[in-house]
Amino acid sequence: MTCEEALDRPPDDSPEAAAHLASCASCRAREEAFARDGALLAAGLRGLAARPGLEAAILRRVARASRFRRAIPVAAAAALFLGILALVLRPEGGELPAAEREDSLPEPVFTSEDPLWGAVIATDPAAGTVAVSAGADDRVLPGQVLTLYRRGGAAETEVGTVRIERVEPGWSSGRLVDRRADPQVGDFFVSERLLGPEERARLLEYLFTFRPVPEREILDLVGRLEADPGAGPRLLALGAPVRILLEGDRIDLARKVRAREAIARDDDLDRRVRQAGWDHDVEFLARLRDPRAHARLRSILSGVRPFSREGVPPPGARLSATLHDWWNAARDRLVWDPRADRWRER
Amino acid sequence: MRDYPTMDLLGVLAPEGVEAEGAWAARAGRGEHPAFARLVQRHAADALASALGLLRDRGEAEEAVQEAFCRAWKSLASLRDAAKFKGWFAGILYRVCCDVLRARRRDRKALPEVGRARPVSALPEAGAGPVVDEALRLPDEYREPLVLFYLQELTVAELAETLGLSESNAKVRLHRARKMLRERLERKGLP
Repeated sequence: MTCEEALDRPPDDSPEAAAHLASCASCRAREEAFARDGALLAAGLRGLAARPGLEAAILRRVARASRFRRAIPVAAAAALFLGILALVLRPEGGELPAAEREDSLPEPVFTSEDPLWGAVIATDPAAGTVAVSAGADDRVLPGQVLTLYRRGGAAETEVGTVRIERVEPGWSSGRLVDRRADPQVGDFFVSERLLGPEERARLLEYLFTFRPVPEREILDLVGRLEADPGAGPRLLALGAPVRILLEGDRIDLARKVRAREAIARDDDLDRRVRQAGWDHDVEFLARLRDPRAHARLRSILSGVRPFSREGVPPPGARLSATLHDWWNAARDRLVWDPRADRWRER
Repeated sequence: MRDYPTMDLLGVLAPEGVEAEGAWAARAGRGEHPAFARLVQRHAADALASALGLLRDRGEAEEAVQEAFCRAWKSLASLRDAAKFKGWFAGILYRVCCDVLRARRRDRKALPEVGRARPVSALPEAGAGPVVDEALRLPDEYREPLVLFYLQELTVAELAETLGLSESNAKVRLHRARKMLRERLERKGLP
């Protein structure tokens, strides 16, 4: 086989082509260049196409199309969980005063990704079985292992793990495979491990990068990436606003690829925060005891009633309960606008 | 040698790779939504990257991917060999993208922004940026096989089926595309 024939040959693993490539350095270099181009094309397009929450959006649409019951979004699951928790924690004889209720709310939980969580709704200590508030509609599968936790003090304590045996549409049950304490109704479960304090801190830091940044500043840094070695780290430090701008059409492809390479270190954080919707989860933000969380709430609620006129209530004991009630009443008329980075009326 | 089965993310004992995918596709074909969710999880990102390569428009690409998964879900029961899900789905995605392109031509929409990306000569080094830039400027008939081959990682036989060509024609088309891309990159001084 001649070089001409080898180079004109399409991708081929025939013995003749392989033998020629092994003996001809120039053809081999050519073939390697083809492979490199292909790999760079795939990597570049994958980088450009990265889109947190894509899977969730697809599944929602599929569910609508097939008239399947919609999977419970994370925010709704969190609301459901909080509701259950509030019921469980409520003492006999009435509701807690607001200040105490605020104190009883634990710090938010972060899971590793795509969290599936809910509450223990029944236990049978003798048989070692547990029923939980999520079932086939929530993607629970037989054989799935869930970790049980209990609120209390500053951190959650692990109660044990349960392997699911029976799955019904709205609930499922399974057997304890690891027991560190007796599970109780009101304990909660997650499908993934909880993050440690360090990871939580990093995630929170990233969450609070969602803030207004002048577009000109980002565009300027993106433009200087090739010439200024300091531009990359500064772009990375700006956090989420850079990604949101990169998802639009303001920057050409080549610059986008370079910018994505510069901020790739935080891809994982971004995926966790935005895929779970933490960045615009009103109830979640209301429970964070951090002034930046309140600033974020003011920003994302600035276009919806009644906060557009009255402003968001100040931080404090009542904020969480107030926003919880408001959210339950308002969520059907709201839609998240990722471009504007805020909730808006439908 | 057969791989040992590993515990997958959902805690279900499942073999790795194509075998697992075939199992998920078979279960999804029987209407099991969680199994379909696993297929979406595995293929959504690459599908979006491929659609972006085919359509050169982010919004249309996202819409096409969602539509392709909807069509896949509705017709999964008709997939005879569940192990061939990947190639089968690539075909659906390609047809949806063709529909979008046809509609675009019908509506005479302007070429999206990415088609007017800045010249490669302005870029300092050979990286993903220039390659993507040049690949997206290739004519449709050459861009399509490149995207499907490298993003969807189709075999030549699957590529031929997806594009509706004979296997030898698909090979020729792919080869010409690779050659054309290389020549363009070299003309711009990129090794």
